Amino acid sequence: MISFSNLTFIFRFLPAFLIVFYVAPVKFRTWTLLLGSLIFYAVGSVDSVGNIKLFPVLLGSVVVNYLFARAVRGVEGKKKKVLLAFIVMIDAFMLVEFKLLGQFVDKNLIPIGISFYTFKMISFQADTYNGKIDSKPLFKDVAAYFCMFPQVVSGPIMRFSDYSDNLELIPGAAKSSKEEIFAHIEDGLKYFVVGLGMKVLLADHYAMLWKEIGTIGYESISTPFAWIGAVTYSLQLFYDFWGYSLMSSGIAVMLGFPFVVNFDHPYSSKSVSEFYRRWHATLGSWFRDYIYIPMGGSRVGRIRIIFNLLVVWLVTGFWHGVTLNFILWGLILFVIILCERFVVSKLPGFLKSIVGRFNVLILIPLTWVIFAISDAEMLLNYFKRLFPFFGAGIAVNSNDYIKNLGIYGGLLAIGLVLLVPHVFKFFEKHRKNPLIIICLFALFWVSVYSLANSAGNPFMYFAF
Amino acid sequence: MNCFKTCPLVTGVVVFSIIISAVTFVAKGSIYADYSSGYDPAEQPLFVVMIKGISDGVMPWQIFDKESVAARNEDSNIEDVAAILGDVSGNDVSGNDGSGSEEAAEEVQFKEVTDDYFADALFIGDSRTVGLSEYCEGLDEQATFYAKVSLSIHSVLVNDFLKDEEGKKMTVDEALERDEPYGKIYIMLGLNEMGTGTTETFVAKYAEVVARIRELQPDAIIYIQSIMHVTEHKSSNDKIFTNERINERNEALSHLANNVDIFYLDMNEAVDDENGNLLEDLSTDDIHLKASSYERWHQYLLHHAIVKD
Repeated sequence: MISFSNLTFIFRFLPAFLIVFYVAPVKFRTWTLLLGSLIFYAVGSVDSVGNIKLFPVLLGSVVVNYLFARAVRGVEGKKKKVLLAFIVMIDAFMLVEFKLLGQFVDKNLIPIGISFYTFKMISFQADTYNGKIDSKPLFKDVAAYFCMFPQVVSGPIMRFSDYSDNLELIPGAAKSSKEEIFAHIEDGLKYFVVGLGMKVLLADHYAMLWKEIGTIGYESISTPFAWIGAVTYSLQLFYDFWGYSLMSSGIAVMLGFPFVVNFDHPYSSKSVSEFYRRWHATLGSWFRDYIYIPMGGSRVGRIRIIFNLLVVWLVTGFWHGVTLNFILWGLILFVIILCERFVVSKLPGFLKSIVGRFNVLILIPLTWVIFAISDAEMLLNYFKRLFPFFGAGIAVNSNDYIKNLGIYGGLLAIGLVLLVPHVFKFFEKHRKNPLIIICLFALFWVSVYSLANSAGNPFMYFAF
Repeated sequence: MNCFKTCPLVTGVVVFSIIISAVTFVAKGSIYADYSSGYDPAEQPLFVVMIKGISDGVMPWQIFDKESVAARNEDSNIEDVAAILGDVSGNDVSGNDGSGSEEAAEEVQFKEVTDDYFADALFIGDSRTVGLSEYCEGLDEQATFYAKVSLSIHSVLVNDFLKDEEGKKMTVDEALERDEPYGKIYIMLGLNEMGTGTTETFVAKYAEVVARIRELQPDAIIYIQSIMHVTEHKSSNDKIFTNERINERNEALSHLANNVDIFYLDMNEAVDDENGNLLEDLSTDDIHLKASSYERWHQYLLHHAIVKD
């Protein structure tokens, strides 16, 4: 049940947790959140990969980070800087080490969510150092912030200041009335349902088509099918992660936290750099605040800016995955962003926007193909089919795309329409409208229906 | 506090969950009996039982309909495994296997043919045969394909996935009755049902299907193709889809052949490595051939044809 789109999570863990959380006296709520999150993480690790042995990695890093933050707070000057550098190194080293272990030794050696919780820890240390965290946080708060179940698996990388904005957790703060609590839950559920629908009804089905392309073999797909594949994978990634983020933020809202925006309609961006401010925004702002700006940001010479950007994009690539395709992916984005910064920005207005849109709508999907395929030869084969200038493929069925558009065309169209920001904004604005609520109710049960039919039956999606 | 006013969605979801759970609780012993047998309360909410039933067309209001409850009970009696087995043991197809088919197998004379051999051939199968039709032009131009993803020996004759000239749905059974006689009928089924039943129930059903096809198409040569192997990677990481279990079922299938007008083709010869696993290079998902590998299967069929003098 480590995933939110799981019936046990939706119908058992979440309601049970909400009841305990709100029935418990305010002073126990943080402990409830921490304990519930640890149960979620432990149970999830057992049934997803069985690597419960890595549970202590999370616990250990929570304790170590709390102690260091206390130490950083207690000293001044150079000593403070050394302490900060030391704990950031520990966190970063731990992340790198487990990523390498997971890649080269055994994929079960990556603790679930480590990419996300170590980034939270580093941001917490830096914010402590910079004095952005005013009052002295208690252990239970720091631990609950690092481990909270809506975020521990895949983010968003919320900042500690957003965590401490939650009045539901602070004894003595103006306590919400029963009506206000139910209003939180109602509002959070709306975002959760939209996210669930995106994940279950869109992303999971796009994944089937993408898998189908892999089954055929990249060397044997027609060129139109290769492009449909690039769009499909791009949409899959988007709705999987946006859907997840909406579910995560929805749950956080149910618990009284502010809504964290992780995806802000990236495909309506006018440039790639804007795209990455709006795609997985909490990661982008993390890189900005904790790598790019500390290195001097944009207030340095041109060469130094280029170097800073290079570092940011190499680290971004590595963070997503250890194989070479991720590094290549990061480098290509680095090059595109450099071009935008130093060439495209000097073009006249209309040309600038055309190039910008082209980059977002055509180049970005191509970069996702690189992101998707870790085997160099297979990646090359895919690009040879996207751009068929280097000879025909092998055993290509030139009608393959017609058949698959017949099956998936409708779903792809829905995914493309939802890229237009107005659709989601309409929902957000009118989400108290009874008609919208009825639609959400239906969306929820259709998603559950789909989940129930695939649950315990892996062949529902991938029948032979 | 008015729940419907403060939080209509939450209230709606909670109330509806309770209602469908209650309905499932009432109906799980009668109309949903088939679906509740494998249900594990630790894994899933109760109403999953009902949803699985609904996706098979068993609607909850049928519980008020005495007849359908009764029919349901009768149904499950007919589908009783023992009944099928008893039925088939008297059947001529499986009746043939006792008569020293080992010896007969040696006598089968396969010949090499060209693609026009398949002009009066029909292929019946699951996604693997779908792949064959899509990525083997030589075959697709000549032969007819009645193949569908997720087809199994249990659904092959009753699933109405075919269409007649007017676009009306029809089953393979209906199609075989009205089609011109086929010269050859190739069957490859068996992967989708690996997780259900036993080798005995599978082969019994297979024999029944072959017998029915024989009845509908008395002059066709029927080729029973072996269930294609999966790769070593899949076989050693899966409980259900192992080559050991596939071999067990294939072995049993091979006895359905009478080597007169029903033949067994061990097409795995064309795609196996030396340990009897599907060659890793031929597949990207460990189960299906990739497009460029179907030619091996095609070549195998071209070299393993029965030509009646």
